[in-house]
Amino acid sequence: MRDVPAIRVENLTVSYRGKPAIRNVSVVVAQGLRVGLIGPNGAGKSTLLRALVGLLVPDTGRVELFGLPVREARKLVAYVPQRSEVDWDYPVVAEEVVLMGRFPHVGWVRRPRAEDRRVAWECLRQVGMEALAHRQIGQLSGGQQQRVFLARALAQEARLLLLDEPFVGVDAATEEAIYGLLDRLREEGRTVVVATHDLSRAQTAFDRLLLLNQHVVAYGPPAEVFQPALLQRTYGGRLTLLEVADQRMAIRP
Amino acid sequence: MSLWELVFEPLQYTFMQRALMAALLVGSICAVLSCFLLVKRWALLGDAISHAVLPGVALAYLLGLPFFVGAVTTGILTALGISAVERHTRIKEDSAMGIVFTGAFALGFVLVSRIRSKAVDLFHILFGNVLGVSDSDLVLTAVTGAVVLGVVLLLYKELVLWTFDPVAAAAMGLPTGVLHYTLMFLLSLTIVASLQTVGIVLVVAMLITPGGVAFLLTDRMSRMLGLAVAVGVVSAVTGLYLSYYLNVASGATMVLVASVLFCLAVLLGPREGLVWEWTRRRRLAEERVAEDFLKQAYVLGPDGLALERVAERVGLPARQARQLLRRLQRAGLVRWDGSRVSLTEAGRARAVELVRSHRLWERYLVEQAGLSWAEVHAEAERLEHLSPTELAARLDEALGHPRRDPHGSPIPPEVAGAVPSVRLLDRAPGDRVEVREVEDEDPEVLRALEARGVRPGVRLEVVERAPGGLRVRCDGQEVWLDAHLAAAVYTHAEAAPKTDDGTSERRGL
Repeated sequence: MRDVPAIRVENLTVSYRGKPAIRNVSVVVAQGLRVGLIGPNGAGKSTLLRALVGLLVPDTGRVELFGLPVREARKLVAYVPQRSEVDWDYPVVAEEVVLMGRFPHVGWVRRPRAEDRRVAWECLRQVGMEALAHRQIGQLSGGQQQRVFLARALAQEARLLLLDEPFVGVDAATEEAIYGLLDRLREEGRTVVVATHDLSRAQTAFDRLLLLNQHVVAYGPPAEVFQPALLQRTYGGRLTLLEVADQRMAIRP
Repeated sequence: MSLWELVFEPLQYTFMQRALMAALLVGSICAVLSCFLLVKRWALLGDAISHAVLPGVALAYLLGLPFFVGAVTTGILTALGISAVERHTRIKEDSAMGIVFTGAFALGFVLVSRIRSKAVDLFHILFGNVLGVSDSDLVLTAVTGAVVLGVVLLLYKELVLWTFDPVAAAAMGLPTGVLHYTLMFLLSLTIVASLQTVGIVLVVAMLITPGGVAFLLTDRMSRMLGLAVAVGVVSAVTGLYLSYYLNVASGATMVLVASVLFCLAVLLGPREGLVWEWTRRRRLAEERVAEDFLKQAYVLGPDGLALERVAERVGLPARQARQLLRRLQRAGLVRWDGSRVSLTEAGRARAVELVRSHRLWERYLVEQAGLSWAEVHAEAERLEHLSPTELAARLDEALGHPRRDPHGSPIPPEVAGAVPSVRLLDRAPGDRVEVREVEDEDPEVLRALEARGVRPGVRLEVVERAPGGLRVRCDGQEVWLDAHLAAAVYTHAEAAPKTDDGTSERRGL
């Protein structure tokens, strides 16, 4: 099991609302890596993530997670959408949302056990939200809501986590909590894929970068992939690169 | 007639026993579903399905089938039809519902009018007749109830996950389509089972209102279900008895009771309840008045004071002043010996905090916010009530631990000093004095004094006293002070040293 890649995607083409959003994407991600998924708006980052959890059906191509087809790998994957489209007035408190992440372990019809509650609480604690555990979900700030959904993904105890733009519109505390989480997940040997716009930290926060613009521009360690030429190809002409001493800093227009 | 008789007298009739059973069942089943309809925003779907039941009933009659079969069939067909229109055309969900259910309802109406039989009483189908519930109706309702409650209990966790976050549910591998149609099926069953009791038109109220009431009262789905059932049962049973005693339509009465409960929830609900909000504001206002009372009692003097005197300063009518006095006495903040009021140690401490925060704010507003000293008293009156001790400490720090406010009054723990101030009005011509404090409550007076250069720390020489005021020399100029202006000025008790350079004096601020 250790040798199987966490993600194997072959010739994947997925259409979204009738138009192909990603074409012929092939990539193999080994286990235990933190992968930054980078590309401009409309590059198909969300589409790729949604296809990986089976929310979108591919036109062509294959997805395997830990050597299994997506349908059989549900227990192994957790997905946090960019901005959860939920009813924020829903009568549910933070702790209960996190407990929902235990569903794949609890199974149909059965009730969550004490062990599930313990895991949920531990995940809330990891994102620093235990003090607000009994707050109704809509009464939390945007960053706090994002952290609750992260905790729910953690509670799934998945071996692969897919985070879609977790840094958009969150406060500094949440941002730090997420980066801290990435490090911890790697220590635990879990694989994380993060779609992000934050190029300034992409070089240090990730073990691999996947540059995507409908097709794969490059995939590899940041030192190899974070090159002006490749970034220009990813972003088209829409990127300004500033060279500061030895360090390159990318700024999106 | 006793309450006992009121409750049990009607139950000697079999039809009332059956009606009560039906009311209990329908009230609770509809309530359980209402919670999910509310969070799923399916209220209109309930309305649609309930109307679409009519053609089913008519067709069942024409074909000689049980009403139940026809009703469930058309109910489910309508739900599917709405989904189909929504999915395959550009019509959105609300219009799709409107188009499909009105069509089905019209078809039912046409069929019923064609039948013209007493066996299908349109009025009863539309508005229900709980008093005409038969044993077989009751069994049907009970079975339906068992199915609905059973499914909801078993799939509670799944239904909550799916209704809260359909995307996450799908990503976790939940068959969302199956849940969607399960809920629709339960809805159709419930509507059909409720027909006899409340009728097509009113069943939708029982499918929305109890959930709505419960939603206003809690933050958790599990409690919402329990509360909704309570609301549904209370509405149905109360409505039944009211209709019996008042001899009015039972279904409509049940709905009316539910509506009344909803109004109560809007008014009294803990989160957004209007009454709650109102009392909260009132309590805040009362708190302010109480604090003002303590503060005035402190400022007016350490000895016992007449209640009227304090009340007048706070602007409180005598009766309310006595109530407030009793409240403060109970809280251990003031003493009352029957004629005079004085502060206890705790009351004094609270008052000192308020005075301190008030005077620090005045100072802050003048120095940092650039307000004129004439304006700051009113602002500080508001702010002092909202400033916890830590905030006052921060203000104090930021201002460099000032000892007096802009009007010359000491900021606690600075005290007024052993030597009392002397009113400028009581000074004699020829006295050279230093202004120590100025009354700060009337902005007009403050503006007038400022215009004449009179402020704390300034030295004055009284030139002459005349009826109606004083002439003083201030900064080498002679100015006239009306008695009401002079009355606001207090001076240091010891005559200021008679030097002209003024450097040897300690300034008040």
